[in-house]
Amino acid sequence: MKITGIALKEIAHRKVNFLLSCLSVAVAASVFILANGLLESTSLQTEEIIAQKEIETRNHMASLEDDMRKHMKGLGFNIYIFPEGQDMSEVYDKGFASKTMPEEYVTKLANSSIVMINHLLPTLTQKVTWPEQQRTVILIGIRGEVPMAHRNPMKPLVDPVEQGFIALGYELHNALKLKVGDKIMLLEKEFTVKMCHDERGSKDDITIWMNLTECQELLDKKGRINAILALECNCATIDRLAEIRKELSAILPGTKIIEKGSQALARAEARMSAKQTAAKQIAILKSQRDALRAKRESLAAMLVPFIGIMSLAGICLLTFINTKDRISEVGLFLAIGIKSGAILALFLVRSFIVGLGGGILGVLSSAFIIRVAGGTYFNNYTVQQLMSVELSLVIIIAMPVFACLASWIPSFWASRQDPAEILRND
Amino acid sequence: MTDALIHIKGLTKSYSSKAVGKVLAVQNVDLELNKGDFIALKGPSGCGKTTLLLAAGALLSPDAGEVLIKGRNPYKLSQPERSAFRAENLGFVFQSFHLVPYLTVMENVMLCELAGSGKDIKTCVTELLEKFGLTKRLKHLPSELSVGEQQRVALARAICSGASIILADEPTGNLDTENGKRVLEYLADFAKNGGAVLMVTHDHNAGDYAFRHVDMVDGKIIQQ
Repeated sequence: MKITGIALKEIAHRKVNFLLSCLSVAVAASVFILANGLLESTSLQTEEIIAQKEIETRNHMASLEDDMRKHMKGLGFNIYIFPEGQDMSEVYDKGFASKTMPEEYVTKLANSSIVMINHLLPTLTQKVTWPEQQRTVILIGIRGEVPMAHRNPMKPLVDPVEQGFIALGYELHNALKLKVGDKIMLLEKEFTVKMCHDERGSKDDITIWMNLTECQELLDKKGRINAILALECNCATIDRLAEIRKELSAILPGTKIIEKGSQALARAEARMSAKQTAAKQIAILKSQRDALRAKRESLAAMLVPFIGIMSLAGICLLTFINTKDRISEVGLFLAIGIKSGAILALFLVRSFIVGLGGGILGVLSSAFIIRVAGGTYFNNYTVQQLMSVELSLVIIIAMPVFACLASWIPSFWASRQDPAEILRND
Repeated sequence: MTDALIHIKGLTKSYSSKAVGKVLAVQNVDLELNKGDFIALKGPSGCGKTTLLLAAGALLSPDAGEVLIKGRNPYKLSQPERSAFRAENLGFVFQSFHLVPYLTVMENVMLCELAGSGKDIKTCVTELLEKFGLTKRLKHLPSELSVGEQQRVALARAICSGASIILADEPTGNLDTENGKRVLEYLADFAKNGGAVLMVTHDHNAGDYAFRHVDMVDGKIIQQ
């Protein structure tokens, strides 16, 4: 006869008590696993939201960055370089220079080792009368960006206008009811409308953009330009204009330089602010996640021990009922000379089996609950995501120990009974 | 030193209860149980018979006096030593059989193995159960046996432990005449074969099988 064999036979004999004890252990195991699962699902979901938010923010910031690059063309740390001797009051008055300079200047600048300027746009601008339409327009010849010889190629900010094509400001194409593809005569030359710009509320609305060479021909200023637009200047200090002037004067002496628009700073600040706002939003989300997790952890910290103690008490009570049921058996065992230790072992082996059975039942029922109620309570996460094999094994190993601890007192009490007292009262 | 298997000298044992205060269950009792003895301990209910039996069985420590079993005082042994001593020397039979309900006949008799005597008792058990007419019941649970069969299983368990002394408390109390007779015959056989039996009984017929009669009244032996 072996203690384990007797314990198994007793379990088979008193099935209800055994099943109730197993259920107590299973409840404790399930509460622990499910509480952990809830925390895990919240954590996983928040991580996913944050990761998604970060991707969205990154994409948004990248798009903002691109927009900014383009906006900076007109607003940024951009400068105009005007010909030597140009009266700047005239520029401020008319919006363009009356003097011209050789187009080679821009090539000279592009081939220099200048570091503060990223994009170079030579232009020829002049207010002219559009005789065919009887209206005054601003004609701008552009040839697109001139590549900087000592730099890696950069994405152009302005696309050149091909020969034979023009781009029209809003007021022009709107008033003349022109659309892309239409043919129109300008200064006795036929052009195709390539682009119709939206309303900008500036002189751009009465501007015609065309290829620089054609513009030079039409205005009879071959090889001449009246401004170089230098875009996205990299300046280390606040006094950026002075920095650029210093560098440019060495290459194009005598030229006049002005900064185009101070809104650039505000834009940059806005961009920084947008970036900071996004970062703040993510930080808030993370902080909310941490707060929610802390709240759930504190709830679990209270609930799990409470359920654990209740289960412990339940197992203790059921073991006590079991020992009371078996007191006559205990009296006999002691009377025939079976040692107290063996009787204690008999009850503890039973508790071990209860713990093992309850632990397995708890793991299985938790997996079942997560599977069935995953959509409602566990944010659609799977059993594999919320219940690791390690956790399940720990539960299955820990529960027998837990059950043995819970039943120790009644088992010890049974093993220390006075057999004479039991037999005399029997 | 005495050669008696159990030597009881001046045994006194009292109980305290809230209802009636101190009750003197056994008073200054002397008794010897020798090899080959079959003593029937008789007397009215509450006269102290069972208390004397338990004290003789190393189960109930006396207030005064001495109990020597095979020359040793079991109450001077530690609890584990006393358990081992009991397992080695004493067999018990009770009125309510005390069979373990979830163990078969064979397993109930083999229980004394757990007491750790270390002896191989399987052959002895098989022979004894055959002698007691229980061969066909080996795999039956106690609930599937008649009361007579249950008491025979209890008796087999007591004898199979290898004990030389059987202490029986009302062993025929729940049995019909026929089954009671069979049990008493087995006990008498046990005594004749070199063992010793101390039996508490109310049954007048039981006395016919005992070799000696001891009458108790109010915790005292009045006739041996």
